[in-house]
Amino acid sequence: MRQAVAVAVTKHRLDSAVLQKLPTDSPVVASLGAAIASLPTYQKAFADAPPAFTEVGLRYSHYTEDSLDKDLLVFGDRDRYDIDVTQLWIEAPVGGAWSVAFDVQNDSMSGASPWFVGTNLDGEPGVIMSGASIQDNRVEVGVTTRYFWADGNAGFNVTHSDEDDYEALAFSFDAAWNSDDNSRTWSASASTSDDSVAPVKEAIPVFIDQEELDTQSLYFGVSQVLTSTSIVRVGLSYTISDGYLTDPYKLADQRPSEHERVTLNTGYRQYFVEAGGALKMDYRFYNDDWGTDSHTLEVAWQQSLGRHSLTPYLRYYSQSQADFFSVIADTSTDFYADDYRLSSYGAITAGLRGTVMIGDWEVEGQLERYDSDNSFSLYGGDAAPGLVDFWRATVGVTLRFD
Amino acid sequence: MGGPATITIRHEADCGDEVHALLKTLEQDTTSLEAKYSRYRSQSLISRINAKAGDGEFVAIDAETLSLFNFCAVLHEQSDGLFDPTSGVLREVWDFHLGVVNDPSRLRQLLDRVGWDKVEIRGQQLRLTREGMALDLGGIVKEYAVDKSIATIREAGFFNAIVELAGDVMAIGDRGSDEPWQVGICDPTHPDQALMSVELSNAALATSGSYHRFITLDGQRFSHFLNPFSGMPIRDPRSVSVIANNCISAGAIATTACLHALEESEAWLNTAGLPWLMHDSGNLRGPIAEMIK
Repeated sequence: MRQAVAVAVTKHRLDSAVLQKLPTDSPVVASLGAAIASLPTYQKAFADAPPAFTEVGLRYSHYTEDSLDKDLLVFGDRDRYDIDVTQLWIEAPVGGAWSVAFDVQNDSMSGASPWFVGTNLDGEPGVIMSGASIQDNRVEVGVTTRYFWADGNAGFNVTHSDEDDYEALAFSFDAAWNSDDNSRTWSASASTSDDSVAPVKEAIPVFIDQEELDTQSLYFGVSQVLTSTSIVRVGLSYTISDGYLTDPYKLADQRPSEHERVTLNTGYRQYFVEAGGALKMDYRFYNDDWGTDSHTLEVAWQQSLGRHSLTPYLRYYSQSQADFFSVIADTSTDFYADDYRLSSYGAITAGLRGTVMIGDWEVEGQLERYDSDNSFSLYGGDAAPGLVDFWRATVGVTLRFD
Repeated sequence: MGGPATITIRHEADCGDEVHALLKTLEQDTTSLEAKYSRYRSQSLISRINAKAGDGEFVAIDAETLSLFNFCAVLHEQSDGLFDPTSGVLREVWDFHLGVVNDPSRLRQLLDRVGWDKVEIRGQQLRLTREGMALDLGGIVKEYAVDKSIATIREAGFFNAIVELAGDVMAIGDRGSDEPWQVGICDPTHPDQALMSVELSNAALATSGSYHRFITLDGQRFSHFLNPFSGMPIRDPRSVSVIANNCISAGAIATTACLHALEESEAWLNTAGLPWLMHDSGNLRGPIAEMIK
């Protein structure tokens, strides 16, 4: 008892910033909040507000593609891409109603990629690789300002990306607003990107000097609290690109100069109070005017372990091939491509993500394995020999302070 | 509301009159909440509902009351039935004011009058289905009054204030020169001494405890919190403080922690995921206690 009295003079700041540092409202607190959200007393208290603290984060990710199978190689180096991604961000409140975020990302890639698909001595399709000489570095810088008011928030973002052979400048605007009882959130965004491609003429021959690409995108979505422990979300996006969409580093690639795509996103979250976990299910349908449909289904279980968490997840992806894809490109037609990314295939991703809170620091780690194969696909179509499998490992730290 | 109220509002020198009028409004609001929800006032809404228990008649309730009952319903569900606003009738056996037990053989009979499932809410009407049942919103109204006062202060255009009602407190903004409001957490064994002091801004701190009211039986101390299933008081009195965005949630989590057996109390607090401090037989535990180690 004496010991307890001795600490009476110690001062500790336990304010809204401390509360906001908690991972999220637990289902218990969220459901209690929902029960009284309609009372005038709590309507302002539940309003959107800028973060009460500054967040600084650093994340590093290593991505490594498996070497190409010996039987599928006709010529070149079997080693494929390795990519190192480093990301640094800071987000801080400004005044009572604004926040500003700044992020920088550096991607450093090296390795070889399929140049074109030909046939081996047995007449089977095989890949001719570009040679292990590709080295590229991309730097992306983004700034977001966000304004918060009682029923929602709106943000404006500018991002510039620069690499040896590609430059892009993108602007986006997004807004979200909540219903009076806070059970429904509407969100919308619009973005535009102005890209320029100027391929580096080193390892492999390229046939253009500089080309342009414009992309516009719109999104509209809604999320709805169903019960005190479940929430559902649905969103629709439309994107149109106009300009140079061909891959200049592929020998046999000629794509249309316009690409329209529509995506339907849905998600469901169910919290299990006793288990201290949440089941997350997401489904995405994609359709484009190049003849490709795709389905993505992801299931994850987020287990809270006190202030820490562990999330295993499994993702299935399947797409149909583009109209102008063939295993060996038919260059007699207007449009053609042998790029495995346009073929019919399926992919399975399995991963594990963990977060550990140490004081004000959050440390995260993630490991993911991706395997793709033509036989995993829901759709018919010939197998492209260059399909990729990869590992990705991520570590990161985030610090939040007043 | 079971204790003294203190309201402090930081303001510019030239709006003294306005603050004076605001304080008057806050006093009236708090008094009318008590008049509406006190089970000790014969004309209160709660007393009128209780008086009609078992006669089949519905009593009309307003939107505010309905929300508070919804809050009780959620807390009842989340606490697996431990939080039950109908359990107050058990005090006919356990008299914590006098510290005595009256005729324990009546417990079984009293338990028939306990149970949230015996409360029927239809639209904006409510009835108690058993004769002798009684509702008691004492567990949440005081905390709600704190939140309501803070909302009224904000609405009047003041953003630096602290409201304390019988030990439950909510602070917004700061007390000047960027200095946060200081709130002491009481030492349960020496209520006039602060155990520790925390700084609060836009957050509420509520404490539930049985250090003032308990019963000693065969040398063992029992708290004034009653288990609605067994009708028995909870052993091992303790006090629990919780910090949340609003006082009503902080109070609800703290009260429910006191309704759990000691070993389950901590699990409940961790599930709620808010900063907490538990004082039990001289031991301090929980994330708030960790901060001072």
